[in-house]
Amino acid sequence: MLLTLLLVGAVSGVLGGLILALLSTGFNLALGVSRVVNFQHGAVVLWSMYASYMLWKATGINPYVGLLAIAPVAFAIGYFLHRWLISRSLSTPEDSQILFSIGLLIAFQYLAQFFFSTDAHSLTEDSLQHSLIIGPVFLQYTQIAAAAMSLLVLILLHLMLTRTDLGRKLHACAQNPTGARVAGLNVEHLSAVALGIAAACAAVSGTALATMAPIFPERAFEYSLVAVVVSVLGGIGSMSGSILGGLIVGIIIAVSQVTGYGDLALAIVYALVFLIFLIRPNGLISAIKS
Amino acid sequence: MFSKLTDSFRQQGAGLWLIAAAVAAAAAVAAPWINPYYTRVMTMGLLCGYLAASWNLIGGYAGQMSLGHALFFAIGSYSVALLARLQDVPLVAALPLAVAVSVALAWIIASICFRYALRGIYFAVGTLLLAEIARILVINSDAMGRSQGLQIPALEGARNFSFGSDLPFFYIFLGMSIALALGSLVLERCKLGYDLVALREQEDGARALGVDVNAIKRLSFVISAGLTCVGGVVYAGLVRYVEPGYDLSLTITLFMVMGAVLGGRGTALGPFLGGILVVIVQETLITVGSTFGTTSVSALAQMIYGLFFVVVLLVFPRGIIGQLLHRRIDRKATRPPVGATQEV
Amino acid sequence: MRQPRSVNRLPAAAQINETRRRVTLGTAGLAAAMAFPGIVRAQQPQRIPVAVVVGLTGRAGPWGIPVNDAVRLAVEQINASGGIKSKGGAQIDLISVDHQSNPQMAGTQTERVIQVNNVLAVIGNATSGATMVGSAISEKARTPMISTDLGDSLTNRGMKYFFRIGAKASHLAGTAVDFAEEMIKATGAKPRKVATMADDSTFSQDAIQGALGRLKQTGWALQENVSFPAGKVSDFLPLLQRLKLSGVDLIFHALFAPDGIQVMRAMKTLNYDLIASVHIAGAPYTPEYVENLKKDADYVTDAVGFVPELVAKNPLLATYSDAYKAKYRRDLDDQASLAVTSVGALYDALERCSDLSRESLTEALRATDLEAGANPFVLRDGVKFDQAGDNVKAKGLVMQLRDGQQRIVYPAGIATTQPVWPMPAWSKRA
Repeated sequence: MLLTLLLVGAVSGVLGGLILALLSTGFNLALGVSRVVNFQHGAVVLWSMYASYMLWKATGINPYVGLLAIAPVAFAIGYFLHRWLISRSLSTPEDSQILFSIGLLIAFQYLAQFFFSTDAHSLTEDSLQHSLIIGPVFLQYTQIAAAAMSLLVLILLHLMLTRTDLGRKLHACAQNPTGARVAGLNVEHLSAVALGIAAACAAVSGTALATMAPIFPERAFEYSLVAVVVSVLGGIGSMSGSILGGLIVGIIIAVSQVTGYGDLALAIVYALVFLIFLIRPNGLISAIKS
Repeated sequence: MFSKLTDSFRQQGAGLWLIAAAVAAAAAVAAPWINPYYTRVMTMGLLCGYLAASWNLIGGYAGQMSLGHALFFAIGSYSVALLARLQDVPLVAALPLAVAVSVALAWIIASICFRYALRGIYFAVGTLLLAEIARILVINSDAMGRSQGLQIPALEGARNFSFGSDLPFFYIFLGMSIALALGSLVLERCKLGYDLVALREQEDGARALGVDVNAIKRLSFVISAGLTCVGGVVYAGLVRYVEPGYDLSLTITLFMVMGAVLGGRGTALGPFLGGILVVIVQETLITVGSTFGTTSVSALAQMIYGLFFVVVLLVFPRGIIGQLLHRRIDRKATRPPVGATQEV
Repeated sequence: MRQPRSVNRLPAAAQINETRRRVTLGTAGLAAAMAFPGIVRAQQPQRIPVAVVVGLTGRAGPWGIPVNDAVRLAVEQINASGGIKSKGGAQIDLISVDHQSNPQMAGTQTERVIQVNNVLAVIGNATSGATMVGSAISEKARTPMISTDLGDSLTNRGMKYFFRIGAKASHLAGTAVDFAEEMIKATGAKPRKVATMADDSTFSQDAIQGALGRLKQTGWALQENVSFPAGKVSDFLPLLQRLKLSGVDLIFHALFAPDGIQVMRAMKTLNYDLIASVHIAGAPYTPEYVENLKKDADYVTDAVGFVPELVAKNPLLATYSDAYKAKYRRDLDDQASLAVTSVGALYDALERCSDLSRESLTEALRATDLEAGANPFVLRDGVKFDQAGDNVKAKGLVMQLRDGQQRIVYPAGIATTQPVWPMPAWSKRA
């Protein structure tokens, strides 16, 4: 039975991990490019969940199709949020900036409560309410779709960052902001673009999560914390790092639940991450590359 | 020590301190006569100020943002609860035990963190994770009361801080605050204080000058932890209920940190002003919310609280007192020296 | 103190004595009024300040919000129907305060409404932790507090001014287990293995600890007690698969709507058939549960203190419940019904108390003896407080969801339908 359970845990962990990876990648990218800790990321995810739900409720369109409308809006919001508000906080001492974003998180979370109340809402798209059974492993379509979508977006992001001009510029900013500025790159604009991309990723994650779990405001902080933890675990600024970090966290949580330590799952993750901070602050991905 | 105090006063301007002293004196005299609610609000303001000033030692003077200070606060409050329930231990006896545990734990944490050069966001998130781990462990522990928390039994006597009313707590916190404020002032003028400034401004340079950076950070962290723990102990005496959802939460940590950041990190008076302001803002928002009495307005009040952080950090990046002092130093620096000829 | 309006027709000498008596009493009353601020109200009995101090934001929100909503509506209705008649139609001035799920804040706000707003009574504090702190303040100020909280330890503190309306969490848990025992005896099928499942919130933990204690007496094989962080688990499949593979076929739950919904969905995905899914308050009575799960929520049982069916039997109570539904667009639930009954008890006590002072109000509360429907706000079984402040008439009942409706199935005396036990297998359901 233990083997079955571990198999179940591993599969669930990988699927869940991909979703966590997407959740964190946007955050990580923005952190790498602009050196801004966007603790309000979780609130952006929350709002995307609500947007996705409202759109689905009003029109009945499949939420992943609805994403085509939501993601660009999210991008714009992220871009201007950085340009108009967050960039102003950059002159403060580095660690005050994290408090600034925590303030934004609180503000956005309670704004959501103001509009949507604390009642849980569920996005139950009929086409996704089936399951796939492979041996002892049960998978819900919602999970598969969410994981597939995350993987798709991660691949697209990777291609964008490595093959396109924009990607190269973003990479340059991440590596050496002063050098990039000297080379004529508009670092403020690029940082804003990075946050826009982060918001768009948050929109995709939000839509995926909305199909899987009930939506209520208190989740915002938890999403932010997961994003931070996974990013630092995998490697700040590194996309492959986020994926690795996401998968590891996902698997640890799933395996803990399967073996009866579900209540301590998060504590185990945090302890592991703390260790990584000490030994490999550049994240696991640097350990693997070296 | 007295000369150090007067030095500080002269440098920072006695004005601020005189105002503070006058306000404290007025409050101390008025406390027994005014409505108990206002006394309680002042007490909470002093609690926040005291905790902010304790955090200030590591977060302000040493410049290391710890987001896990709830841990030490909770060690204080939980020690009182556990010892009272298990062995009828009076609060005043629980105090040294709690402080010993906090200090020991802080020493270990600091040794590990600073030895591995955790800084900036890593230190902030790392300490936050430690507090979260503690919270999850407590929630899953029957002995610690799980998520319901623990009621502190009604043991009698002053040694249990069981006074007829809450008024003595105001004076206790006032005393603690005055001591800490003056202590911080003395600290600024002694070697540790100067080393901290060097460390905060330019860590590598300080190290090059021979300052034992790790030892200093650790010392600040440990003292800060011990002081925060004392705050937790007295808090437990007042509220008589401990629960992980508050005592070990980011909420209480933010309570401490915002006070210091709003008032001015790295200043002796700043955190007290900041702490009192945070409490006043919270109370005002709740009071306004209650004139409407609906859930949505209350949510709005919380939203404004979040925005308050944002605005304050934009307008007063050094904190209110920090900004004031900075301007004063700037003005003095640009004033031409006496007797020197003016450069054209 | 009010002087009686009618003048006694007595012989002259007796009248002088009467006047002297009244003057003396009046002066004494005035002196007393000056000494105890709460009594000052008596001189102008136009408005009666009452406060509800609960968590409207933060983790206690889901409990505090229905309480606040319910109390506000009840007070509106009382005022509209003429206020407190025995006090000259005095209107209730209600103050709602949010303590932000912060126990220290609960104390401060309770202090404020007592000291600054001079309320005669406080309804609060949702949840148990906040109530521990808030009630310590109200007790010291000799102000009655009526609580909707269910934490067991609230009433074993020897308090004189604390009153609890609902059945304790452990009582509800006991009802749930009693029900299961009776059903198993009736159908003859013993469960292979039993498990309990709770989130880490204060209520759920209180409830599940109560259940575990009671389960020991049943002799069933307890496989494990699962606990998980409330609202943070995104995938219940691994956890439930473990229970399924261990052979667990009866589960007692204490968890809330978001998690409850996910758990049920996961069970359906896994084709996990149970003899029964017995909840203790928590998710099944919330509108979201049925809205989100639809047919999949059927046959779930829940030990609660109140179901809308109870009101259907008594047309007097329908006025409130219809108004509640119209205003808040949801049926009355457990928490809300506790809150309304609290107002009902307060209303009754305000009519009966000798004057508008905290002491007499408390006296009147202690003497409460109400049946369900005694006034339009006593929605539950009735109210009578014992020495400790517990409501001895508070009983638990078990409801089963059928076609999305909450139907009473236990105890037999008030059941409106026969319970379906065991739960039909997923494959046999449409």
